Amino acid sequence: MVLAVIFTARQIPEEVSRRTVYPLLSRPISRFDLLFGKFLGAYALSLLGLLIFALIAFGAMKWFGLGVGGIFWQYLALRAAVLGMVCAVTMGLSVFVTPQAAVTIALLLAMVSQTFSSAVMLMQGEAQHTGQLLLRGTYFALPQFNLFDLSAKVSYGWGPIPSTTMAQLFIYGAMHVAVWLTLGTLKFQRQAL
Amino acid sequence: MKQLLALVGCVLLLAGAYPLSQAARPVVEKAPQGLTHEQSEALEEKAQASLFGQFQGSMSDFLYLQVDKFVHSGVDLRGMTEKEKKKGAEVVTSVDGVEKGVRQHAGTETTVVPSKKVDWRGVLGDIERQVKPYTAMEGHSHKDPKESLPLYELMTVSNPKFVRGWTEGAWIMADQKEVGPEKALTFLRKGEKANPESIEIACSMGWWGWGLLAI
Repeated sequence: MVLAVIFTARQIPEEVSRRTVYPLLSRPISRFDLLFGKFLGAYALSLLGLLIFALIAFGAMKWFGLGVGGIFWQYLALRAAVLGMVCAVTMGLSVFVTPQAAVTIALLLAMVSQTFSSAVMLMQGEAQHTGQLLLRGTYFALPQFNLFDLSAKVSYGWGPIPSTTMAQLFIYGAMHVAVWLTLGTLKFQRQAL
Repeated sequence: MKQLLALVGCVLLLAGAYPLSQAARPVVEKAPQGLTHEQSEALEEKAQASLFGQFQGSMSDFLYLQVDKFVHSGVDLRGMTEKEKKKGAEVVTSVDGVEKGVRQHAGTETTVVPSKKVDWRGVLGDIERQVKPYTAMEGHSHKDPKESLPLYELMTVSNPKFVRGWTEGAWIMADQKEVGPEKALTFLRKGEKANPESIEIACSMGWWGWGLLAI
């Protein structure tokens, strides 16, 4: 996840600072095409990293004679989905802020997602009406990466989750990818290069 | 004459009792060695010892929480807020008694992932209840704590001053047929060595020692 964030955050700002963005945009492609292409590249690289880690984990489990149930594959599928979200969020942020700031914000969102979610759940019960609305609004607006984390269920030997939940998560992830890439494109289209 | 002989006999017996009393001294186990209060205080003023102590404390606390999580199959619990107590969030209660060797619930805990009844997140809440280890915890039963024994061993190795680790670990050990009170007493003796001032460990030793005598 860290690699995905660091790699994605540099894509567009580096093209702009090195001025290599001009020959790219002189071709018959729109700024959205450029942003989306960069997103796909960063996502593919992140997936490659995930695949390597998955192969190591799979090999280690087989080596120790541990069976991998259906939930292991679900876990990997959700990790792949969340990497797409992380790449999209970082790509969107990198157009608005400096790459360093984009890395920091994206990593914070990704790493403290579970803590943030638990804190909101706890605080909104104690907050007054306006505070409650703010907390709930923030919860729905920010991507909840922790919803894609099946690691606790894998560790404690729970069974696979229903396919409807998997489908809901993929839709939720796709919505966030679309929103963050759209926001990034809107800003990038207005940006003077 | 007889009286004189009896008196001499008594004097001789008394004289012989002295070397006998020296030969028959009671065997007393050496008192367990641990850090005295002054030694602990002196260590607190050393940076390395203080840092290492914090690490030891954090490690044993973490492992202790893992035991709780383990016996609840990974379901996260937390204390209820005052508002939740009044409003009535889902209360965690168990059907297992204290004999199983697990922590008892006082009716002031709830799950970190809220139940559907009190959750305002709709679909996202439903998703979280599927993705995270979650189940209704009212009247739940615990997993066998036997498998958590390595965690107790680890937490007491990482922090020998963690008295609760020694006493609860011993309780679970004593409850297991294949391990039994002898192993619990051996475990507690190690705990006593590290915490000679602990009344809890001494009480536990008395409890399981008495149990062995009763058997």
